[in-house]
Amino acid sequence: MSWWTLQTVFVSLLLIAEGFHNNALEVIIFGVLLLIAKAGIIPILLRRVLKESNTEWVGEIYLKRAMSLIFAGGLSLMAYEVTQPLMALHSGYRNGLAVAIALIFYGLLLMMTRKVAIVQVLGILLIDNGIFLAGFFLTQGMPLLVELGAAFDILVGIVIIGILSKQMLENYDSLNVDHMRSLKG
Amino acid sequence: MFIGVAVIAAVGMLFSAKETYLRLLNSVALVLLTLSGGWTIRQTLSQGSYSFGSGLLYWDALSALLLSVIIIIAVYVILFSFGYMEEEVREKKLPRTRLKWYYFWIWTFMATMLLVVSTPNMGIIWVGIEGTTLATTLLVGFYRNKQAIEAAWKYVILCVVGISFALLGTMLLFASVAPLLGQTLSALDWRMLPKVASQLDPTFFRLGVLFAVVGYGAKVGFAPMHAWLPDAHSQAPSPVSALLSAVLLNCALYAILRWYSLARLTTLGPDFVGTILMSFGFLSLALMTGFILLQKDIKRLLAYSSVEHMGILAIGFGLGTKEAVWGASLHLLLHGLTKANLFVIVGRLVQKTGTRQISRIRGIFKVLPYTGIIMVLGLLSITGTPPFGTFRSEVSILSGLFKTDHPLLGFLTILFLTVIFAGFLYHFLQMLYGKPSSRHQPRESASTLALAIPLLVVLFLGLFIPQSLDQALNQVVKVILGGV
Repeated sequence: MSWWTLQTVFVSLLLIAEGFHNNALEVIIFGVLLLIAKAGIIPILLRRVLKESNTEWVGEIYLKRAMSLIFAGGLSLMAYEVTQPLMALHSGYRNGLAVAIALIFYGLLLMMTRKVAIVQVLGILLIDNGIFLAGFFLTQGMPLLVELGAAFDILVGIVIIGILSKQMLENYDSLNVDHMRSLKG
Repeated sequence: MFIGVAVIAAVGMLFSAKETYLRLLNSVALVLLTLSGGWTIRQTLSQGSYSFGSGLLYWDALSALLLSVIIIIAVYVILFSFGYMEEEVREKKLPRTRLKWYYFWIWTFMATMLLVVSTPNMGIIWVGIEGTTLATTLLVGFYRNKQAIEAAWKYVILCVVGISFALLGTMLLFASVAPLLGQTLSALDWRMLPKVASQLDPTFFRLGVLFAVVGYGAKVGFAPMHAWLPDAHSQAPSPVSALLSAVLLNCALYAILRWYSLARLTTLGPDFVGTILMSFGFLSLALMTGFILLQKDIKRLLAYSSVEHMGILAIGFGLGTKEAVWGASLHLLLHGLTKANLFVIVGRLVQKTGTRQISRIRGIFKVLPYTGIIMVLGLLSITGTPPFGTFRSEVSILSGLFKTDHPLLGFLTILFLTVIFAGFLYHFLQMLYGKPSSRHQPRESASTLALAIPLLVVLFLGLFIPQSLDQALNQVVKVILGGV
């Protein structure tokens, strides 16, 4: 989790640097806001939920650690492969875009292989970072209104997921998604 | 302006949970919403388009169609909510203080949907659709029991991930447009995009439109991504299910339609996205047939039927002939009305009988005769039986299939629709006749029949389409097909 925070800090700093580079005040402001929201508010919220849950981390995983490393490596290769056709256009951004797509893939992998609900949220946040990074390399910043809206949505989304996981704790005494198998057919 | 009404109403709901206060505030908000919305729709349809606040908000015929669906169904469902939610409080399923949160989220949900259909900007549409997910999550989990929370969790996780792909798609669109229109907000404006559509970079745009259709498609509930839908629709309070099924799915489909009408103008050609939509639609229809036949839970039955109808809509829009798109636009309206009415009446039924299991609901005609009559009407309408309007719209889509050399698809669609009709008939007849369980003997008055108004409208539109509606639908066709 703290790794994710660090990563977000870097994505936001990248945005701020880009703002200084282009002398665009709005981009800088947006970067700072993003830094506060995602590196400040979201981690605090998630920690609080985690502390209440007393989650056992052992055995809450579908895939062994070594296996998931191999998968992650494969996904990185795939990310490079997928971005191949786009690179003819923006050759300078190749690595950045590939890393961004790889991040999205890691997020999906994380969501599929872990059983703890909060880790699924982490997967969403990882995907979100990847998309912001991809957007940054693709477009050098979306229109401000859209970026603000998107960031606001993510923040509210995490708050709502936080509320939901609290209710989940009250009902199940655990954040393991294996308990949630009652709705079928 | 009506977005403002919805936001103010949402905040206003939080001040008190007294029955009279909530009733009064909701009624005032609904009247204001209807007046301002109705005026906007009228202006839009008479002038072809209408803008507000120097183009910040903008409506054309397609937005007006969606706007009218939202407003009509919202009025109907929220009016029904009063009685329904009071009954839930009386039965001690919910504490009274939670009611204000219920209306708060309902009106927030309304505001986000109104935003989606009022903005001319592809980026803001994304923000709005994501907003609808967040506003409805806690409504889906409103009863806070295990199943409700499971449904809400599935819903929020699947939809947020799905929709983030749509954001990636929007970014790819922006990347391909920015060199042509500049790095400004107007580069994502669907009024500007058609002008440069033929110059868009095909690699970027193809990837972008794929991400967008799959991402929003998860929210529409197209077949492989539909897993959240029956859970969310069956666990939410019934008025919320009605709103989700009848309005929210259409709003997500609207986002796809904007992409679709743009993609028709690019170098990808008119059929690229159309084929994707038709595949999704056909898959949804085929898979849902099985689920509908084997269903045991009545609200899930209706939810699967929503997926099926979204499939029919996707086939109609994806086909891209004038007749099929006309039929699909009409079907969008009619399915909304029918499904809202069915969820409302079934919600009432579930409240009175205390169970959602089809096998435990028996003898409706003996116990609740008026509900029974409405359910028969709903059954006929949802399965597209003449003389209901849904028959007219489905036939229009089907004849489009046969006219464009898809006889096999057309044949299979008819086959699936027939099987679905049989499934619905089987489930509904079981519930309508038989020996009622002696535990509940509630009485009902003839005033229940007032709940059938949307179905009667559908019936009326099957017999007779007013010229103004026909003209409006033709305008919608023109918007989607790009002046063909």
